[in-house]
Amino acid sequence: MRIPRALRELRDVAILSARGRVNHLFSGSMAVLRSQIRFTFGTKSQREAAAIVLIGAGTAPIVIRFKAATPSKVRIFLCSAASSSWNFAIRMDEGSTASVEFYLIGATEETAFERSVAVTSGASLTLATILLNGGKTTVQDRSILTGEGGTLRSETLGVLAFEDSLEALQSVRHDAPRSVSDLVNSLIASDSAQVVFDVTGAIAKGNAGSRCKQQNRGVLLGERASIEVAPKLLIDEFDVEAGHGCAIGRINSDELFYLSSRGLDQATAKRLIVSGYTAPFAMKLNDPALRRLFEKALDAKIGGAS
Amino acid sequence: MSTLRIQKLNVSVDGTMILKDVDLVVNGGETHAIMGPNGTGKSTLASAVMGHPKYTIESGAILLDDLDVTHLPVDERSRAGIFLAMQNPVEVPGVTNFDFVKTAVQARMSADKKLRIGKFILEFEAAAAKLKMGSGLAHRYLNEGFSGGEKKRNEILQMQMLKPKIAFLDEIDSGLDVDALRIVGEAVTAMKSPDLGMVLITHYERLLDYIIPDFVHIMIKGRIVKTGGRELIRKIDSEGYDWLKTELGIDDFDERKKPAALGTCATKVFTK
Ligand SMILES: Nc1ncnc2c1ncn2[C@@H]1O[C@H](COP(=O)(O)OP(=O)(O)OP(=O)(O)O)[C@@H](O)[C@H]1O
Ligand SMILES: [Mg+2]
Repeated sequence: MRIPRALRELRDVAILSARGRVNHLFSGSMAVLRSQIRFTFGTKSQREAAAIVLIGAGTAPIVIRFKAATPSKVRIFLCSAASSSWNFAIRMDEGSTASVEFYLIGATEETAFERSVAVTSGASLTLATILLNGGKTTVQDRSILTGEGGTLRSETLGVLAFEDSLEALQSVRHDAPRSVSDLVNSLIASDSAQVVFDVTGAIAKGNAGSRCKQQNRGVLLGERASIEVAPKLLIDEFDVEAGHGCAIGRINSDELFYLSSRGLDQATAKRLIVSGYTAPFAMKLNDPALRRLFEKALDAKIGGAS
Repeated sequence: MSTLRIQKLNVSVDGTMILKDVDLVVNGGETHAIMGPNGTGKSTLASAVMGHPKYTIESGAILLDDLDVTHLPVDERSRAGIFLAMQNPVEVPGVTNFDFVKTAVQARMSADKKLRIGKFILEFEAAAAKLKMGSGLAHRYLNEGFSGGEKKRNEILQMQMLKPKIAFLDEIDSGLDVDALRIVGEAVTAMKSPDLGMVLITHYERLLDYIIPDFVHIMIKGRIVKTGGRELIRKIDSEGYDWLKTELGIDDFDERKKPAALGTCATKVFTK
């Protein structure tokens, strides 16, 4: 896959592709070893988000470490043309703060995305995972809150169309008191896309004062599309807050009639409904070129939503 | 000035005939009221004119000026100038009210024109303020969690922004408190012009105190059985629909004379 121009022109970026690696004013540090690629952030202050662009079929496992000296913001773009397999480990130092956005783009056949996250005490991680790739995707996303007062917020947007499928296993384990997790999954399935999303939040005994929240919402745009979400909470401690919400809906004929009665054609009406899910993610991209890249990828999926 | 012509319209729902040979002509500048017992087909008429897929037009025609809209898709009817303020507006989570109205306004602009957003915002805010809608409503999800009265005001707001040629207002008064009824009534009355023909569907005299109709039609069992002027409103308000039964020799219509809820939502309040 060619590197989209919006990514090539980023200023604070490291690009790794089969052709080698390039970095421009990269505010992180990178070490490419035989068995592992290591990134470290949080030592130098950033003006904008740093970007990591990975092109191709996958790399050796990637470990991203955040140090506490300064808050970090990183965008990771995974661009593949065919099948790919990715493995990330995110390690938060005590007291570190980071925001990491993952963008999966490209018309792939099969994608395996694995991520393990560890949040230590006083650390705070905000994750956004945007699945705009095609084909068959499997996600394994495991997070552990290992330190007291650690916080994880994780938002996932899955946009599937045609014959795409997504099978995701997401889990968060609270292994420390007063740890907080907040998961929001937004899923859009058009045409005959199939989604199975398994979400588990667990608070082990002794971790009082923890909060574990998950919210799953989805919209079906095709008669043959399906979204199955299995939210689970495993709570083994008394003094905690935990909750899950799940709302998966098909755009019904009354909704569509209402929007059409104001002059919106079917495609516009569906796009508007979908934008309710996608707009918060688009808003994260303040760079207009990146925003266009996001919108183009989205449009390719559900532009003419039918 | 536009004209809507409904000609010998027969409409069924799931195989049950609801509307029978309905004829109605609405000209720009006119206000029509349709009254009738529950379940006689008033909403069916409004929905069929708007093109709800649930309703099948068995025969007859709906014409907007020279355009035969009988079988047009809903969105094309809307863009042609037909509007329906719904009895039960649906909630659309995830879509803000503001974005929705903006998209709807854009949908009826020619492709080479761009919406002037500043002007649009001012117009939207002015309309919302006049309807006493509270500024927060613009950025809340479309009708989600809106109170009954807020939903109705929102319908009127949309009508103001979309500027239709012919508008059906289906029980726009239900769920409104006395003050809201006045506010909505005044807002609708202020829209009266030769460019807009209106059809009000209501059970209550009260709404028609604020929005004065030129014609009153009574629908019973899917037919318009009587058309007259304002005098019909008073008569229905005091006597229900029973007298029509005698007058027209209809003997099998339901004993739902006066709407059961009369007095609960649009009662006149007298203060000393
Ligand atoms: N799917 C259906 N199958 C059969 N009859 C239906 C169906 N849907 C609606 N109806 C009937 O159509 C008739 C007309 O309903 P409509 O909503 O038009 O009445 P209305 O005059 O607006 O009543 P109201 O004053 O209560 O709003 C009702 O008797 C209703 O029960
Ligand atoms: Mg009705």
